[in-house]
Amino acid sequence: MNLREAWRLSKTPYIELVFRSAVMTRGSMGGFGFGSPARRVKSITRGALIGKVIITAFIALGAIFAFYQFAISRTAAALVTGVTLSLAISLGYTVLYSLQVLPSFSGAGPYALLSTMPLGRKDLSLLALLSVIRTFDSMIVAAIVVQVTVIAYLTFSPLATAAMALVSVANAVFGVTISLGLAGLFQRNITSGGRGKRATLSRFLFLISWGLAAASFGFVFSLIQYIFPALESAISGSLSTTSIPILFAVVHPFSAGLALASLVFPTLASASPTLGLATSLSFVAMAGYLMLAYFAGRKALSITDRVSQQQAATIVRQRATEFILRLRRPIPAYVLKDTRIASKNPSTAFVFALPVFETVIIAFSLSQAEVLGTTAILGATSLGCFFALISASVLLNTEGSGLDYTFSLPLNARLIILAKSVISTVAYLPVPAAIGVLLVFALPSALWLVVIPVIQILAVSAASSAELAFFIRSYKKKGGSQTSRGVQTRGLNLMSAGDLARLLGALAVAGGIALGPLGVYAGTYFVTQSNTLAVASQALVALAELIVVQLYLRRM
Amino acid sequence: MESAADMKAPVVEAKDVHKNFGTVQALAGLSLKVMPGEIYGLLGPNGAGKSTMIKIITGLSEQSSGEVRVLGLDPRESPLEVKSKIGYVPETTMLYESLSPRDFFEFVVSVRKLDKKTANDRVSKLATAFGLEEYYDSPIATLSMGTKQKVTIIASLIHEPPLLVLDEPMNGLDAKSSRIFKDVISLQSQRPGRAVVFSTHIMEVAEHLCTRIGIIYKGSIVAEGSMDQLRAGVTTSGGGQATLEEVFLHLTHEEEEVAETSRALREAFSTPTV
Ligand SMILES: Nc1ncnc2c1ncn2[C@@H]1O[C@H](COP(=O)(O)OP(=O)(O)O)[C@@H](O)[C@H]1O
Ligand SMILES: [Mg+2]
Repeated sequence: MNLREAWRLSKTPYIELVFRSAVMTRGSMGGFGFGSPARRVKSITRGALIGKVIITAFIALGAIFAFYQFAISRTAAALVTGVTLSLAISLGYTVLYSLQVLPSFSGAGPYALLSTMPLGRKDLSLLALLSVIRTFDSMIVAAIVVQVTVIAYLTFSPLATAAMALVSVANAVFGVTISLGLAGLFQRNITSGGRGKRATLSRFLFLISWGLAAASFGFVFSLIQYIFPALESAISGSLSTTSIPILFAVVHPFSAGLALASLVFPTLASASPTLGLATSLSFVAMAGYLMLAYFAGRKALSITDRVSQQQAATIVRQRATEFILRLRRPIPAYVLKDTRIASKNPSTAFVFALPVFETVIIAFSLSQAEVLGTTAILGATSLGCFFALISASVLLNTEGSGLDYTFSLPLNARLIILAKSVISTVAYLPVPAAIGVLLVFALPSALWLVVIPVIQILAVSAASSAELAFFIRSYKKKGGSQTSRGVQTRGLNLMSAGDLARLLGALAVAGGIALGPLGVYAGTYFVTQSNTLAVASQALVALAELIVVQLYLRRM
Repeated sequence: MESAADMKAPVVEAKDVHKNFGTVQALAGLSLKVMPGEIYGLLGPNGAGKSTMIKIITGLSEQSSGEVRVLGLDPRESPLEVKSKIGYVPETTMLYESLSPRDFFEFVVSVRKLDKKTANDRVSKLATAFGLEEYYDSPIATLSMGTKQKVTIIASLIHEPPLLVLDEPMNGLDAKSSRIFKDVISLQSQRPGRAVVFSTHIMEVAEHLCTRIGIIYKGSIVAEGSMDQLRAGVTTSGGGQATLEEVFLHLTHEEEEVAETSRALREAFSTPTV
């Protein structure tokens, strides 16, 4: 097989890789997908392409922007900063991007079909490698081209340009190898079984950080605002302090920055004995990293080779010695099932991070308020309700294809809805707690205000039940996982049972139910100027909502 | 406590069941009756309507018209009672992939509100019989298709249901497990008042396991009876005893089609390639 043909063929495993990863990290059918499976595959691959373009643009711009300081004043410190930052950006964002695209890599799923075809080991391995390169192609090219060009243009030093070229390539190799290693780690975590407390906890922490890191992908542009200046001042500051350069001289990509700077500014080494030692160390380190890149490259090759050969990843299993089941009542059993599933998927593990988010955001929004009073509390409470409604919709993603089986059990939709609304209501509880604590410290005289978020517990429960009822009902109406064309869609999720317009409709209704009592509070207070009456009417409306929704569920 | 009268009542009874999906008619007046002690096989080609009928029996889907009674109950009116008396193995093993079999059984048994001791007892026996020890705590996603099938089979048996409804249950089972499974099915049918309904498109399975076979084609039963009764209606070209395959092809009017296809195939294979 020639390289050109192989490149063309590698598109198939590449798309498979992207699709399977989306399914693995975002729930059964790649998250919020609508329409036919074919359309969803398309929207996932399109999403991956858009992500790739964004990251590529960001790496290219970041690599240029890193040299901003150096372009203004040609100092050694600015050059060190530029090289270090631009390498760090391309490395960091390559790895961040891979968190979304590579999780399915080590499962060998994308290559299982290829390996049944009459292709030699070399060809298979090449196809696997090319499909991984396809994942990163544009960002690697962008990083290397921009970094080399900028150095050539700004320094006019052939030596520095050549060094930058070597370091850039090495940096790209590191990015790919680290990504592949992380993909393996993901696979091991997601396939590992066992119920030991430590295994469960570490698996959960791993997935939640994976999910958060992958989600932070969306914040790339805001990250630059915070991280850039901080790194910049840290680097230029460290050059002037005595011993820090030595410490950093051996750390990639700082070592490369220092080495390049001393190529362009030969006087840098003689500026101080410390810097002299640091620059010579940085050359040794840079040479070491180039060699390391060689080995990392070989490691990457051996990983892709191994994955392309195996039909599936090896799974470590523990032989069960007893089969004892711990039984619960149906609703707690359903809650437990949902939390177990949610904790094993990066997209749904987010639910467990919500309470922390809520607390931080509420503390933040209240501390920003000019006067801590009713208005601020109403605002913070609405924010909390909003989060609870999000968690309800995230919980729908824990069902996936298993829901079909669940409907064959003697349980009604009401039980499913109650169980899920219990979880989202519990996820809301930190809101009244946080507000209460804040009031105790900041405004003890108005501690009674905490009844507003406390009463909202009823409204949140009603709203999340209504939201869930909407989806479960439309799912049942469609007769389970078969589409209207009779196509079996494996792994359909609840979300796709509705369409976008109806999703928005459901969220609007649920939002109305959640915020209604708060509106009633504000309205009553405005008219009567009585807090007691306002609280009473809020409580009345929230209670009425809960009763109406529960009656509706009973009739479902 | 089954009385003599109960024993005579059919476990499943369907009369003139229709089911339409838009313009597609999946069931076109299907009728069948399954008596206690029977192992009833729904045999038919892909797309004949087997899964559709099974979903109606289990209360997962509702017919467009016609009557269905399961253990004397209408699945549309009392879906929960029907579901609690049925053990169901779906056609595709679509389970919660990140749960382990242990988590999954805990969930199923808790929702079914079974007694702790009997449930644990049965799960241990079944899991050992089907050789599930090694997979008991691994995520279901990592199991092979056959092992997943074993998980749903065990889940369908834990509550000792009066009626087992199995949609293509032999898919992916290895020799040992399918042997065990056949034993389980026979044992089930021998207990008073119990029955098994299962669908398959594989002749041998139907031939060896069923006490009665209903051949389903384009949404209705085109022939029904024991193996011998079905054979009697068909004369073979050689004049000997018809195999189920011959009966099947005859009844589904696919004889000529098959003959035609084989002719075309033979031609394709005899043409020398360059
Ligand atoms: N949800 C559905 N929507 C549309 N058509 C369906 C649906 N379910 C089944 N069908 C159609 O009904 C017919 C019978 O299907 P099915 O019962 O699955 O057949 P079998 O199980 O015998 O292979 C097929 O033509 C199938 O395409
Ligand atoms: Mg079927």
